[in-house]
Amino acid sequence: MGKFWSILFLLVPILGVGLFVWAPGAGFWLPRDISTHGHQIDHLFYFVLWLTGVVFAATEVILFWFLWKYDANSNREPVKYTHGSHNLEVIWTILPAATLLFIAIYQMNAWADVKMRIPKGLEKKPTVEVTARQFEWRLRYPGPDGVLGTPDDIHHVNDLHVPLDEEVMVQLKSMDVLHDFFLPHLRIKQDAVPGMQIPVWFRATEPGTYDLVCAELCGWGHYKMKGRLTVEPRAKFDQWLRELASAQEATQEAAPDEPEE
Amino acid sequence: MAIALASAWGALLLVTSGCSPQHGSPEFRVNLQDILQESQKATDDFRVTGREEDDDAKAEKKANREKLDFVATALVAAFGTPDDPYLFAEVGLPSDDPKWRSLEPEDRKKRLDLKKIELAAGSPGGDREGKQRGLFRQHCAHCHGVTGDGAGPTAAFLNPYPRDYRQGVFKFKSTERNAKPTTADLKRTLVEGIPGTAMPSFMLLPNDEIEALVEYVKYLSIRGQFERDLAIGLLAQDEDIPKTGAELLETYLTPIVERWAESEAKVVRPPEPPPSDTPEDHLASVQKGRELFFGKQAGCLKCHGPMALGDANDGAAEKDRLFDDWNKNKNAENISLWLLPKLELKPRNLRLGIYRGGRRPIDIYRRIHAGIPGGPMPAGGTEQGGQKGPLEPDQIWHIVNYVRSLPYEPISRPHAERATALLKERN
Repeated sequence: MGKFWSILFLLVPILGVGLFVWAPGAGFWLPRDISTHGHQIDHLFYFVLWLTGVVFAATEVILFWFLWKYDANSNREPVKYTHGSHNLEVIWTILPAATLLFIAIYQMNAWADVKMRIPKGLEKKPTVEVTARQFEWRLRYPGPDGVLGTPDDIHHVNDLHVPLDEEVMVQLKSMDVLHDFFLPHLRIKQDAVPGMQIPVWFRATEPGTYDLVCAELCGWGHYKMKGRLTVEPRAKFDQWLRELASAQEATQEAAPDEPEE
Repeated sequence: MAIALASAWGALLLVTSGCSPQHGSPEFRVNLQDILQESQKATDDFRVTGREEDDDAKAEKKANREKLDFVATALVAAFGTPDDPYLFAEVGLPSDDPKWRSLEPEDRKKRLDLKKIELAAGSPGGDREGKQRGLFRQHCAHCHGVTGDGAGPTAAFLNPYPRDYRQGVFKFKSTERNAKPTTADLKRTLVEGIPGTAMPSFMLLPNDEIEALVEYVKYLSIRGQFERDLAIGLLAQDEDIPKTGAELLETYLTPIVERWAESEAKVVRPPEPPPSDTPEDHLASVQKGRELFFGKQAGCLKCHGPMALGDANDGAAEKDRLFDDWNKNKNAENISLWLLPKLELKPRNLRLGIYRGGRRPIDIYRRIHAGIPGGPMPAGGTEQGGQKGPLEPDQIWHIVNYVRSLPYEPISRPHAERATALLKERN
């Protein structure tokens, strides 16, 4: 019976690694990256995954080996106690500390690229202002004058459109509590903080519709805070904006459709 | 018609003879507070107490009790339960029913689509056929309540409170003040949300689900108003219990259904605005709107304040404070009747650029023309074939233009004069 438990412990690294080998093929993996900077973030993710994966598997195998070797049924020698090894303790303190320090330095460039190095002049040219609110995303596009807060602003909700292959500048705000502007396909995740206007920028490289979700528990209706991102060529985007703008200026409304048949 | 009524009455009797709703599933609650309020009765008028009472008092209580029971039974008979909605054929039919197909288009328009209602009813997560159901309880009930009474579990935290559909009063709509909203109006509210309130946008729900929810809101509203009218009729105005299903339908239900059916005809369709294509024309219109806004004829500043900040009644005495109709009657003596505490109404701060009923010029025109039912905002325009309002259509358009310019007008330096001066400098 004794060795049964060690086999059970061996299943942990085998199933754990197996899960990660199986998941990407089965569609349970990172969503497709459609951004220009996303590869940096994915690289960091894989780097940390491999690092922790190898350590995890090794630790689990060693655990198994001890369980197997020192099984009570096949070991009749009395237990020996030690007061530990100073050298070993120094090693297993310094190694993880050095690894963490390395990761902290290694990721700095990616962080700066995604969160700090705003392309020149972009901050003054917002594509859209996104205001998070319990429980929706209120959107405001600058009108033809390119400036927010003027009478030609175009207002919309939840249905975010951005031009393809262009630097997009989002001014992120919150009207009430903490929210988080999460575009999984663009590897963008930024908290929206009440009282702050936070610049978020990206360049989307593939047209299509993608998810926009709130990634910060913001209240009981958090699950409702789902939006949609549409990436489309500039001409189509401009056309969409023009249609919104003219709908917003409506002074008449078409009579309801004639009854069918 | 006669056969349909007979079968409806049969259903009523069937329910009366006692089939209780499934254990554990939510029920539509009969709402006592309105009945008590309107009928000037107290809960003790419905139950036999331990105190000594003469036979007359006992008989009176018994009659009251019977009437209340009839209200509850009639509601289940006419509307079913939250899991199993039902409608008389005169009120609604499933759109895949042969009877629906044989109806004339106008007659169809008068009826609710029971198929859509079923899609929105029930518990969330799908039924045995795998069809999505329970949309209302999934998306709406936590604020608006299972009965649509606007007193769901989260309602007390919100300001303003969620709409109580049972009153049959909807604020943001395209129709004349006292008319019901159109289907398109309710749909617009669901799609756009109501900025400045807790009502979020449901734009990304599939169209058929939004339409199902709209139909369910109408169903709850008709059900709730029927409950009110019936209870007030029987208990406050001491009408007798209707003898037949036809009588019940004709006296209490048909008038409500007909008002919903006529809403399309009551849509406010404003004339074209006066031409304001050039900046000068536009500014002149804004200036006229400004004069009207602060003038006596429109009297906007009475509530919206001298700065249009919506603060005219801040700190006012109780009698001058503003309330929605459903908050107005709450006072220290009767407050225990209501589920939600009394809440003051704030007139809109027009400088924020947040418009609950929509920001399009036509939306703001309709707000000024028809007012906001249920609240103190009066109708400014002349109703179709009705009361004459203080404002002409052109004047309303000027006010619309001024209101739309308000978020961009500096409080200390009025926008219109400054802009006119700038234009003159340039020329």
